[in-house]
Amino acid sequence: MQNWIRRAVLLVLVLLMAAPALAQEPETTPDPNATRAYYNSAALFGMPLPAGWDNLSEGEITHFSDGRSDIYVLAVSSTDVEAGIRTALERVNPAFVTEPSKTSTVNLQNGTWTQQIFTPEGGAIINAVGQVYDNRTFVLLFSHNQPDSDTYAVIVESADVQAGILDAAKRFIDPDFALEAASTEETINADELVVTTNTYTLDGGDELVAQGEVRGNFTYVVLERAPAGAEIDVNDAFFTVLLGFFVTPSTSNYLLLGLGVIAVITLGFALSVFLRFRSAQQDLKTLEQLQAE
Amino acid sequence: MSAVKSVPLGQSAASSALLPPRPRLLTLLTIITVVAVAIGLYVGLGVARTDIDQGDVQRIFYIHMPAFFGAFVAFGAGVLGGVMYLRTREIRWDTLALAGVEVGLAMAMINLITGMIWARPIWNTWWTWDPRLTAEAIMVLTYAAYLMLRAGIENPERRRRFASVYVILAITTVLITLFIIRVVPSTIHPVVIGPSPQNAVGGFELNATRGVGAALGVNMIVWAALVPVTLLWWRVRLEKLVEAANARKAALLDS
Repeated sequence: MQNWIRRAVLLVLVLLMAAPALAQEPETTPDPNATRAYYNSAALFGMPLPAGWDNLSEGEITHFSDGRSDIYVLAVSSTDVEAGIRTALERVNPAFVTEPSKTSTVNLQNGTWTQQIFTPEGGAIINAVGQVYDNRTFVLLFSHNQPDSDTYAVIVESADVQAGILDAAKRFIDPDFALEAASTEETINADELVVTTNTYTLDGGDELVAQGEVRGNFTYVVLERAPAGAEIDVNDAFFTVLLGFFVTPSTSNYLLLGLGVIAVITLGFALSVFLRFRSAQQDLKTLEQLQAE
Repeated sequence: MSAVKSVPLGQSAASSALLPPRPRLLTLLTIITVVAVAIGLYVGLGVARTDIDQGDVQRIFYIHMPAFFGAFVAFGAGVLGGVMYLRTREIRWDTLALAGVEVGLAMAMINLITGMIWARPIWNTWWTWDPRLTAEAIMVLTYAAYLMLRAGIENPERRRRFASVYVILAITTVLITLFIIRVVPSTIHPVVIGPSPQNAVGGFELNATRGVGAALGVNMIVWAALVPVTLLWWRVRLEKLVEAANARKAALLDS
């Protein structure tokens, strides 16, 4: 029986020895549709580079473009989000002077985000979101550069997708917005996201496409208004800025802290058992001496 | 070679008279565990690729999650000890229960604190009163209370009986902690194996990043099996020696 246990333990050891080799799966051809990782070593944060987007980053300014839209991500030294967003905009374009036309905050599970919309004259609308993290403000700027097209990406507090879209439309299109959608469709993609797309015809003849998805108590909404007949594609905004995009500051220090804690608890427990063992041995020795006397 | 030198390491002549000699299997298991921990760290830190969403901190999961199952194994040993003590009244089962709770608590603390460290960059907070986190905090406090209450009861027979009943009931907190993320949809704690709740933040796919599945698998063997079992065995041996010393002390006082 003992031999059997010994053999089993040895087998486990051999399997463990083989683990590093087994873990090295063969290299495969990268999937062109897969999101790639980008780490900005100058600014110390990482993020996904969506499939089909080019990386035009320089120094601390992360810049992705797919030809129609631009995404900039910056980490600026500021604990004031609005000041951080302003600094980020000025770094991307030193001549930028436009004040935000809308400012709102949203309390998501990963913290409070400030959302600002900038509408520069003659330029594309800039959607900015920012959050303070470890004394830096992480700012994400998105603009959809299509002529005559206005795109807004926003998170609103609503667990109902239609109510969320309506709320966003009232904020950005018309405070009295009450149109019925000309058509509504639901898309369920591979990630089990249920995306609702509404199409409206506005009074002036423009078209409005609204896309929304509910996550918890919030609806993630993109609105794009464009002249009738123009190509409207809100997916860039929806699946990059709102749903698929995130900034990951360097988290190596937290890993080291975690490993330190694991070492302290494990070795501390082992040391405590060892010291108590020695103490019990001392007690026994003393008791034996007392008995002998 | 003198008689004292022939006593195995960590075992004096006095204790060797009261404790059976250390089994060679325990020595072997200890060596294997130490080597396995090193291998687990190598696979988790050196072989598995960095997670695209979370960066390096995701590697904490390779020990964070197995440590919970290690706690589960140790607390399970506690239940076995409790049940068997109530049935047989043999002290060795109570010793196992005590060892199980101590080791389980150490593993649960690893799980809890590494979880907090992971949450800081991923959830942007050290702590939130999420159902999973709250359940785990209650679990840790329940088992810490076991050790305190146990130390507070003088009568050994009564202490062992009370401790046995307590340790059997306390396992419910472990089960609640284990299953709560699968039944409470509002939790933000991700599920690693299986679909995460809708509000979960910080989940990752086992096959999304190269080496993640292997790193988790290896460390599961290490931290959910080898480490708790080795620590349990050593802790049981310690308790036997302490009990022997106490018995001798009592005998000396009686005489």
